[in-house]
Amino acid sequence: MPDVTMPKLSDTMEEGKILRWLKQPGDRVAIGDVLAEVETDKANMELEAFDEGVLSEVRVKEGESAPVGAVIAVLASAEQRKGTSRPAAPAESQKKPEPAKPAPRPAEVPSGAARGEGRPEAARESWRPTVVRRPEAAAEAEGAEHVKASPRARRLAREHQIDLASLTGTGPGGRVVEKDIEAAIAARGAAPKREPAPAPEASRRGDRRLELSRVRRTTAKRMGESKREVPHFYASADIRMDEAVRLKEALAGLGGEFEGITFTHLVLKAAGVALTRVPEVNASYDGDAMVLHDTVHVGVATAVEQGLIVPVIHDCDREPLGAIVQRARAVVERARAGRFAADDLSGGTFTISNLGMYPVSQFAAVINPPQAAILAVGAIRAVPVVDGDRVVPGRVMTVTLSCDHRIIDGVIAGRFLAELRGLLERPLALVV
Amino acid sequence: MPEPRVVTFREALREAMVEEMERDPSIFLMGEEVGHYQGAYKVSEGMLARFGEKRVIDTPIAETGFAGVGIGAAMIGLRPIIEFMTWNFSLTAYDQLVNNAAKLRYMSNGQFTLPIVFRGPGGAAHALAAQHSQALESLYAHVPGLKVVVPATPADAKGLLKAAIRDDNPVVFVESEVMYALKGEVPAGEHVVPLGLADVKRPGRDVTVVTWAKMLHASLKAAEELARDGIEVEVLDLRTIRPLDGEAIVDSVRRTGRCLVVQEGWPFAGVAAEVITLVVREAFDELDAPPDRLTSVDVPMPYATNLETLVIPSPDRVVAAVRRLLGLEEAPVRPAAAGGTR
Repeated sequence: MPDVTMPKLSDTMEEGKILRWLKQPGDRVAIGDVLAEVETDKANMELEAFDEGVLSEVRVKEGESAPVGAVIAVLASAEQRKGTSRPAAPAESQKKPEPAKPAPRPAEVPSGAARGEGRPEAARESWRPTVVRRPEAAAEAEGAEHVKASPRARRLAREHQIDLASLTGTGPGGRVVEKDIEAAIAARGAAPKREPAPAPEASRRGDRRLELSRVRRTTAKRMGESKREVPHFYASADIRMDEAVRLKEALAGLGGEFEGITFTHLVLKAAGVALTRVPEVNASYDGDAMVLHDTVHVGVATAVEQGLIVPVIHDCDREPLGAIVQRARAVVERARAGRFAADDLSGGTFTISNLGMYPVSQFAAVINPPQAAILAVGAIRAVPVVDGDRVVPGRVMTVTLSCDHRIIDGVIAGRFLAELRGLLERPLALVV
Repeated sequence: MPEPRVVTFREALREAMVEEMERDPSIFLMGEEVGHYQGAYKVSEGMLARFGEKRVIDTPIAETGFAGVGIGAAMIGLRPIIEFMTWNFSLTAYDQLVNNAAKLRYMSNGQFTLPIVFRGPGGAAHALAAQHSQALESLYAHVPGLKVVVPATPADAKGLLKAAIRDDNPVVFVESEVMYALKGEVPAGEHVVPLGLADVKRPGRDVTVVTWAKMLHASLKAAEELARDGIEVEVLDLRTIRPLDGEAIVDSVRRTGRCLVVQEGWPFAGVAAEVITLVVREAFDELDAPPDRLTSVDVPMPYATNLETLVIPSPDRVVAAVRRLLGLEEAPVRPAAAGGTR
């Protein structure tokens, strides 16, 4: 009987809430059928079946949450269904979590539960390329985030009111150890001390206290981590956009796949190509290693009602501009609606943040870890430019690349910006 | 106070026996070759001439017999020192130690005391093969009723042996062939080191290395090397493994947050496991890394010297184990078997 587990639907997801079951116990399920709607830390997504069979048991009720990797439902094969129908067990792992007991690793799961009857294991697994099992997270109490930390680090965090989840562990296997807590205490030293219970005072002065949405909480945590952990540096370049403006207007006039084209789409394509030429920017810092990604998936920072999310446009280097336009429009639309396909939010290797629709001439963005860089795009401005020995009216856009200095040096940033500028200033290369 | 003198480990042991025997006529030394041959390792050199055949007694090769004679002598009020040529040979007398020496005070409701010291070299020496290279202190430390003393320096050897001779309980006193020639300062005059007290041989703030006997020297060497990388290791010499100085262990680990036990001898159910249990229970909230142990490999000692070197913890392996504990080196893949070896 294959178990249906809570999948990891975004890079930062640690648990998910079942909003709605679309299949009920007894329903036949085919591979690819939508089983449920799941609310993650970022968005609402659809959970597809990886196996076929009959839904025999639902273990997490609508409105309840389960950690990534936890069994949320059980599928029975049709034959099994006839013989035995197991009574639905209460959702033990949800109601009475046992934090001390680690969740079984995939290899240790009793064979009966792990093997899909009638289907070879390998075939089943091949349906889960984007689902990363995080067994260590599965046993944690609902709502509590599992953080690997030494007992000493836990005690110090408790004493200094430090949220372990806000730290990046530098111990073996990412364990938070004493020196990580010391670093956090030191980092906090200059900042004003946190007041544990400010609410009554604040309300008298008229301040309002608004609970953060899940999206905002995730953003807060990850941006804080990024600025604390990642040594940022910034490099800006002015790019003449006269030809890009003309190209965009021409393509918009063509319609078809170019309908709805924006400068963001041009920058997506240009960045995708530039990243293949300067692959050091399409990378991640990983302890003693620098990981160069073999795919170019570019996220677009997108404001939605609940906060900031980063839908990912896959293969920006290889896909033609028209396809990028269509994909980007579709994914941003889904983002605004709060409904995502499983890989809409995952796998990003680089991010673009465009404030060009506002009178923002330039800004610097915070890196979205584990990515190594983010490109902040300003508005296209009409300015006097020196062309040969004449001053002419021109259109200029300023972009700023924020880089993780642990793996990217200024020279790399410069080479990337040179490639990007070349592509955008002679943008025909982006469509041929 | 007169200046301390530099003497060898074997001289320090001899001084302890001679001084105590001169102080107390009920003390005598018995064992194979202790008299006319002047001791298999010359620890008792000159003692026969000094104390005569009634107090320095050569025995046949019959450990069960002379261990039993010693136990009987202790029961009627003498204070024997029984020398095993090595602790490997004590195994034929294991029943005498475990069932008689360790039990009779308890089973007689205190009518008998057993002021007896069993002493001799333990552990590997050099290419003596599987049957003659065993560190058996964990085996004896398992038994309630025995005290187990494991000195590592001449000063401790002298002070602890004097305390062992004065103790009214049976004491297993483990020396080392390769340490007999070790030189060190020994305080002049009366020098007694109480049993059950560990000693910080090198202070440090990053990692506590708990060890004893020969492994103290491997650990100190490692600590010196690690200090060059700015890693400060505290080396705690247990000196006595039963009774165990839990307070000293826990105090040190509470400060450093990390604990490595370096033990000559097999890992399974060894003293290192006992120390780690104590640390986990008493210092849990201070641990910054899982306590670990570095022991001999879980095999009978190979005869070949190149393999022997691989079995016994070396300074290099102590360095690596400390670095692993600090997260500076990847942990090796561990065998999953119940008696997992390191």
